Parts: sequence; structure tokens; C-alpha cells
Amino acid sequence: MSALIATDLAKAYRRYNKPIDSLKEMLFRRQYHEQFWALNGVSFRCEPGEVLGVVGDNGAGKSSLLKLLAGTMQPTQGELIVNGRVSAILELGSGFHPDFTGLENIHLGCAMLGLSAAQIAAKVDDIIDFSELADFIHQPVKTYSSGMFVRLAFSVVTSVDPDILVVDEALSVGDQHFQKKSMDRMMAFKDQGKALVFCSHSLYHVKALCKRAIWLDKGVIQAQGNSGEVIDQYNDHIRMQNRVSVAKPVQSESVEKTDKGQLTAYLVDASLLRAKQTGDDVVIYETGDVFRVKVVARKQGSLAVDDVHIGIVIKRNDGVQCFGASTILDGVSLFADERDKNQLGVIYEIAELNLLSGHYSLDIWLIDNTSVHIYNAMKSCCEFKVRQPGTEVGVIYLEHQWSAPI
Amino acid sequence: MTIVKNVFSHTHALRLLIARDLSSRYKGTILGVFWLFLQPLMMVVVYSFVFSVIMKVRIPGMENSYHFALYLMTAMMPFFAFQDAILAASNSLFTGSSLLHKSTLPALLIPLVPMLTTVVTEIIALVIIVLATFLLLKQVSWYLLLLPVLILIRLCLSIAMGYMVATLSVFIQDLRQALGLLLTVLMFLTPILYPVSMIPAEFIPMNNLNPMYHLLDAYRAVILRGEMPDIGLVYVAGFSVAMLFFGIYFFQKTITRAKDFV
Repeated sequence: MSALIATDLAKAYRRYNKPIDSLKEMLFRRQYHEQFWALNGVSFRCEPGEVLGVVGDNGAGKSSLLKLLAGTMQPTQGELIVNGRVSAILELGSGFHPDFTGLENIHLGCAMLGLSAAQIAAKVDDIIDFSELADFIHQPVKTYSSGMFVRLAFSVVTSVDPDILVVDEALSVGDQHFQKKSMDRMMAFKDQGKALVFCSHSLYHVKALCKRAIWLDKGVIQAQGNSGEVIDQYNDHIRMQNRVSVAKPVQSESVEKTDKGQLTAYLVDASLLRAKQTGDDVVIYETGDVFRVKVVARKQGSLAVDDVHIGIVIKRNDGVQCFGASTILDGVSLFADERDKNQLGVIYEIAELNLLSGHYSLDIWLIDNTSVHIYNAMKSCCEFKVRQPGTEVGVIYLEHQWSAPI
Repeated sequence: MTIVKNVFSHTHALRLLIARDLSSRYKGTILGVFWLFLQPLMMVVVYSFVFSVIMKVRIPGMENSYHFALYLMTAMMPFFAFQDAILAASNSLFTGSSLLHKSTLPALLIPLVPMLTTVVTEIIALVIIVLATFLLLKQVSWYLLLLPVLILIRLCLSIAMGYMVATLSVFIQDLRQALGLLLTVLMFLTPILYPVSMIPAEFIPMNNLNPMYHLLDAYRAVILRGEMPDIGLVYVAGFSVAMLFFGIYFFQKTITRAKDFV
């Protein structure tokens, strides 16, 4: 039995000019509001013993989704089946009363989660212990630091033995020691077969903790499935927004439209060879795959073959240049076509493409033998994605080993 | 029905919230809980002094000089409890907005907590009034055992009205301002400060429709007159229960909309 089943979940917020309009709407059955869909058509499942990650930009609908899961908000449409007791840390110290002591708030917090007086009494010591608040437990919570607040909240929420635990960003407030401790407790939950929904901007954490993840964007699920794949896609999206230079891909056809009489040489075509094509038209490689690009150029008869060279730069979609090489640097000449001496070509091969997950493209330059003059260039062409099997971070996979110190 | 069950599954939370509501008023004060007793006690003393010693107000049929002060208090205290409940309910969704949005507590409990708290203050005030009546007027009777029933009816009426004003004050902000005024008007129109015998004959039928009159008169009957309350009490009881159902229905119907604005 799944712990959570969401089917076509949607949440609309209504905007009214005045509160009274909402009442009028109910009485007269006429629409007075503008609607804003924070979530739309969200469907997923979460099994017991599974950690489900939720990622997305600010305003993507993550908080709305978590509130629906926690039961503090009702969906506008769709169905949400929850099997078991849900306990959630959404915003810092939700429901805590600032004037009351930590201890009083423990009682109140547990009672609101539906525990009886006896059940609470049995847990109080554990909660205080885990929160490490010691004597501060008798101080009003308004005097607490944000770290103390979150420690108390986490201790309360996790002590009631929930079947489903929903954890928002909140945890990042705690110090390293408490983060480790809370992470351990969450992992223990997972091992006990409880379901966890974990929402964080720390993509590394999501990738490491969650087997499956959901990427929300503008209220709809952009991707869901294996957390590694989802996070890679989300990372591609983030880098796209953060890219340094905004270069529109230049197609080879547009190159042909330019006045070729002015150029003494120009690029005709560049294509990725033997690449697996996927549905969305972007080629996908796995880290370590063979990578081959075929580049074809044309030169004017007056130009010597030696005076035409090609440079290729692999660029990530945030503008980071990952690797660039040229035929000049490597001392290679372009190959002329047997039938047409002015048609030049070359194949650029990388035996092991050790790039990590990302969305990449090529900048191809046609240069002279001084590598100063540029005949022609194709920017951001031959888009491709790389997916890595592991969770290493960075741009490139470097061969390495670990060994015992002397 | 499930709503009611949901409320009952949170009885412990309800108890803690009421305790919190009560103690928050006196938190940090030196006298603490003693304030709960001090307020009605001071009122008995001051009213008795002003009306009986200085003004020497006499109502026909009440010869003892302390009679008027107690006559006033007997009706006024339950009315104040009603007034406190209504005003607290009208503010409850604003002050409890974090509970409303961030916890899974049934929304029905949020206005209920401050309304139930008024029972505590009412009981303390009534105990003081009953003691004073016994000491000053030598008046006590078995009919006092009906007081819990009266308190229950008073509570029903308060909760019924309270649930309605709770969400209405969100939609119509003016209501929070107007409520104080409306309650003052109700207090003066109900025979609290004057006996019903002073009302001109043409207004008597109107007064008979006022549930508050029958309720407060029942308090006077059992405490001051030592007699069975008037049959009008049955009318108030029926009215309160009917309104209670409507009030809960109205609250449940409007709470999700009201949530958008607090």
C-alpha cells in the first residue's frame, strides 16, 4: 500500500479585491475572483520506506504541495490519499506560541498532533533530550535562536512516530552537529519503512538522500523519477538561467545565408556521430562514452589547406568552457575531399567523454594558421546532454584513487 | 458528525489551549490566577457601595439595601461572559491565524477555545455572587443546582453566535468595530439595569422575544428569588440549540473562504 497517492492534484489561490467578495460569491453564485494556479495536475506516489525529494525554483509550488501533504491546506482539485499519520516541519516553529516555554509548547505541539496526555508524558524526556535544549526548555520560545527553534520543532515532529514525515527547508537552519543528528534520525525512519518527503534547495542532499525526486516548475511536474536524473535535468535548467554569455545557437543554414563572397572559408556542417537520439531531440551521452563530431568546411580555391584550421570548445549551458582544442595546437591538417579539393573535413573524437551531468553545446571556430584570424564560427551548435552514473560533483570526472597514508 | 468526532479527538489539545488562553492573560502578573477572583469580587464590593450605600437604589419588592447591587450583578456577569465570548470569537481567527494555517487542528476549535474560557470566569463570578447573596441576603435554595444548566444554555447561545461572527468578521471587518456597540445596545435593551416591571406595556411583547431576557431572568430566579425559572427558559434553550447547529453549519461553510484573508 502506497503511503501517499496524489492524483491530478491542483491548488488554486483566489484573489479577491475585498474579503466581502468571497462571501458574496458564496451567496450569489457569481464569480468575483481571479484565479492563480499554484499547482496543476500533479500526480505521484510515495511508497513506505522511500524518500521522495521535491525540488524547484522559488514559487514553483513546492510549499503549496507540502502544505497539501501536511493537511494544513485542501486541494482545489484532484485527490490525495494519505495512509497513516503525517507529521510535518513546514515553516519554522509553526504553531508554537512565543510566550510559552519550550516544555509547554512540546505538550501543545504533541496534543495538536493528536496525542493523549499519557502518551505525551511518556515522550517529553526523549524530546527534550533530542533537542539538546537542556535548561532552556523552561524559557519562553520567543527567546530562542532560530537554531534552537528548529531543534525543538524537529524533535517534536519526529517524536510522535509518524508514518509519513514531511520536511521542508527548515532543517538547514540547524548547526552541523544537529543536521547530522536529524539526518540520521530521518534515515532511521526510512529504514523503519516510513515514507519521507524532503524538500530542499541543496540538490546534493536531495540526490544523496532520495531515491526518487520530483521537479516542480510553475506548478506542474517537469520531471519525476530517479532522483539523479531529475536533479541533472533541474541543474541543466538552473545553469541555463545563470549562463554567463547568452549565445543563441547559430544554425549552419544561417551561415550559408551570409555573404560567402566575403569569406575565404566557411563552415558547412557540424554533426555528432553515432549518438543516441532521445525524444526531446537532444543527444544524450553517458559519462565515459565515445564522443565524435564531424565538421565540414569549404574554402576558396585561392586558400591553402594549411591555412584553414578548426577549433572546438565544449561549453556548458551556463557558459562554462569545459574543454577546447584546435587542429593547430595538435598539429593536424584538415582532410580535403578527393573529388572536391575545396571541401575540407575532420572528425574530432574523444575516446572517453568524462564530463559530468549537464547540458552542453559546441562552439566551432574556423581559423587561419596564426589562429588569430577567424573565418567563420558556429556558436552553441550540436547541443547534447551528459548523464553520469554516480553522484560526483563538478564539471569533469578525473581519474583518481584513494590509498592508505604512509 | 465526523466534524464533531474530529473535535473530540483533540480534547487534550483543547484543554491545553484553554489553559494557555487563561494563563496568557495573567502571565507575568504578580497576582496571577488571583486576578480571576479579584475582578468579580471588586465589582460586588464597588456596586454594593455605590448603589446601596451612596445612591440607596430601591426596587419595589426588594427591601434589603444590598439587593440592587446583587440584582445587577446576577444578570450582568452572565451577560459579560456572553459578551466576552462573542468579542473573543470575532477576533479568534485573526489571533489564531498561525494555528489555522500551520497546524492540522480542526478550525472549529479555534473560536471555541476563548469561548469555553468564559465559562471559567463566569463560574468564579457566580460563586462569588451566590456567596454574597447568602451572606448579605440570607438567600439560598436547591434551585441553585440548576445553575450548570443555565451556564450550558448561555454557552450554547454564545457559541452559536460566536461561530457566526468569527468568519463574518473576516469578510466584513467593520463587524469587529460594530460588535462592541451592538452588544452595548443589547445590554441596555435587556432588563439588566432595570426590572422588567419598569418596561412600558407596549414593549413587553418585544421583550418577551429577547432570548437574553429569559436567560438572565432564570439566573435571577435561581440565585436571588430561590424559585423555579420561568417557562421562557425552554424557549431560550430551544433557540440556542437551533442556533448552535446553524452556527456550526455556517462556520464550516465559510471557514475555507475566510482562511484566505487572515
